[in-house]
Amino acid sequence: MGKFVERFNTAERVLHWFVTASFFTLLLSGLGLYSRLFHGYFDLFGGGAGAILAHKYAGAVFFISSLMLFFNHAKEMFTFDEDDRKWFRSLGGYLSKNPEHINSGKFNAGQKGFGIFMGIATLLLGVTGIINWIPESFPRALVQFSLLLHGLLFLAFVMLMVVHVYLTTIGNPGTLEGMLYGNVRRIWARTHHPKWYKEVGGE
Amino acid sequence: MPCAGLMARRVRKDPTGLGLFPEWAWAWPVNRRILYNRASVDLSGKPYNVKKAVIYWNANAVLPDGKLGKWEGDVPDGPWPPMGDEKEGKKPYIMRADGVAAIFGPGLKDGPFPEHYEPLECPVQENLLSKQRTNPASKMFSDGGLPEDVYATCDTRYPYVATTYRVTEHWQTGVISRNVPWLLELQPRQFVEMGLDLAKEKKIRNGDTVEVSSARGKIEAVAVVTPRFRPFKVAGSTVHGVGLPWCFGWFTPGVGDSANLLTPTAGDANTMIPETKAFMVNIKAKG
Amino acid sequence: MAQVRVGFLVDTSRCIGCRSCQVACKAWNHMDADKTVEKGSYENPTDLTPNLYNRIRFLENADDRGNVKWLFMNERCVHCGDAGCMKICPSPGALHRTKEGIVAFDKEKCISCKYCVSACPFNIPRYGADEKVTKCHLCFDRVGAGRVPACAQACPTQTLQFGGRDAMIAKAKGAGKKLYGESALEGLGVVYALEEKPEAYGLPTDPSIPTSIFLWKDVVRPLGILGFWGSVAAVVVHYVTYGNRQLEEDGKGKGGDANG
Repeated sequence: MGKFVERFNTAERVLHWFVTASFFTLLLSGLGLYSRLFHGYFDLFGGGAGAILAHKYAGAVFFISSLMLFFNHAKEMFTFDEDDRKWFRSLGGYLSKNPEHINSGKFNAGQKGFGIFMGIATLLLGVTGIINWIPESFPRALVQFSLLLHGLLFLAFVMLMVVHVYLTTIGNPGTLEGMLYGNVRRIWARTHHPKWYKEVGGE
Repeated sequence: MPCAGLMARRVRKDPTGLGLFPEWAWAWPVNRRILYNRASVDLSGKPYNVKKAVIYWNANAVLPDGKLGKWEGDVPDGPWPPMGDEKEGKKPYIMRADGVAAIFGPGLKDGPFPEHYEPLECPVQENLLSKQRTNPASKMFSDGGLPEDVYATCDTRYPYVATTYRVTEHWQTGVISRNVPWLLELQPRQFVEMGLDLAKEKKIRNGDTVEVSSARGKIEAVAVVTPRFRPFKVAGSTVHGVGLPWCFGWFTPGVGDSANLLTPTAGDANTMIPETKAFMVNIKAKG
Repeated sequence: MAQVRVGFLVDTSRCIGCRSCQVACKAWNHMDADKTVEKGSYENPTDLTPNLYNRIRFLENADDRGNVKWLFMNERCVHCGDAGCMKICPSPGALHRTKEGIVAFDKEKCISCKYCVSACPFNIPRYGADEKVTKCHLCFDRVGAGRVPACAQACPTQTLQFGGRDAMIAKAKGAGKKLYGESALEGLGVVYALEEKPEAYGLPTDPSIPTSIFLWKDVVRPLGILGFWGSVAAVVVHYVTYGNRQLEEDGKGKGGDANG
């Protein structure tokens, strides 16, 4: 057999990169809205009004693609077993020099948690985004809270995204190609997601 | 014209001690504070009550043109010397043809003494203060036999007292000021003010459109329901009153009709000013 | 030379509800009349609009004996010392403070986000068809030229008194007036002399920056910057400490599947 096994199909990859592209657009256009300290980033969009427009469109793209990806992976995300509990107990082995590998499925427990967070956060960011978009249609106290919540969720997202980018690139070599080309090396699958590897036909 | 700047004066000096404050604002036309003040002095210009002298003739004062004698105190009713001066003296009631006061002057249609009459349309059967209910000398317009020349007193069809008044934002009938958009913005439409009790009784809420009708016509108005209007107790019964501005009319589309479509075609005995301040109406919610 | 902070003292007991202030402001700022309808009140328009920077509220206060006090209240931007609108605005210069202490706006810098509409404790800024926010700017153009704001110039009863803030406050207190806004929000630029409680005039009893806005700007934002760099630092430290997860060549994996 070949060196590779398919991990992510076309739909999963396309959705993921739509999420990625819209996320970074949202980040860059939203930084200036989050704080006057970052108003320089507005220049990327030709000014604040352009940034807001980009933010709205990217927000719509993000909302749809992220939720689609969420539902695409929903079955795996919401099945928990003893292996997931083991993962949590040792934090996936990431804080140990000689980690014991967990028998993870397609997604380990950390990924499941992250995925669930993304689903909830996407929903909430979308709802608060709409409220911030047309504040005149909502009670003042709700809009004020919505502005705060939107910023808080954005913050949590960005911090987790730093960790996500690290873990999927330099933290775990061989991961990125799965999302880029769809296939991962068998050794990678055996190392990181042995239960899944067995299910898809590996030994 | 000695207007704007002098109207803004706020000097609290009171040289006469009578509370005249001659440099507080401006009493048009010449800042004379008490009309006919020349009646407070005798023929030689000496005040009858020296302790409360409004004006007095200073015979020794030298005028710029060399003449002698001028009035001190309030601005006098004309610069002429006191009455006793045969050549130039004048009687004090300078705006009357004969220069003297009168209790009952010639040319009036009613008098000699003031009397309380009820308005032509009123909510009581009897004048509680006089045997005569209304002024018999009132000018009644009914020569043309027009349908508007009707009046209704103690008529159950029109049980509420109405009055008309001006608003700050429009001038008189509003036919000019309604063309100023900024003024129309402030007061855009005919309204009728009424008290809480009357509104509740007629099931009218603040902002509802109502129909106000009198024996002569009817108009639509927006109800302004307010605690500022309270019912009167007249001869033991409760009488409700409503108020309408008269600054709107058909000439400006959408502002409603003039309140003067409701008012009686009867006028004051002497001045013929129409009796727009007291007449009887009915009101009805229109939704 | 230290600039004297200017402001208004609004002596509500003198107001006669004539609305010269409403019209004078429109005249000076070249703003058209709004189309209004009668809603059962002398208040028209019934709210501030992009074309109406200040307006008079007519408030009937009836006690239980049926006596009515008809209060007239000039509603407008009060030019807070600690302005919520300025705090939240993401576009530098869109809302700015002049050297006299006035909170003015620059439409060209406004990016139409409408945050200030939510951040004002008095609900003052209004969003217009031109997609820009407007509010009273205390005629900073007139003030800068040594004149008084248009509304104060027009007021026939000296209800709207304009001048040095401290001096006016001292004079009002000396006359025994009860003041609103002397110290709230680092002192309001428009201080009211009231005869009744603030609620009777439709004023918030204890005005402050809305909690969510304060939390966002003064708590979440600094912690957020800390948090972001913290997570970056965390992954750097992690990499330096633990390295990445190497993949052993076939068969000789470091971990392999847990079941051997």
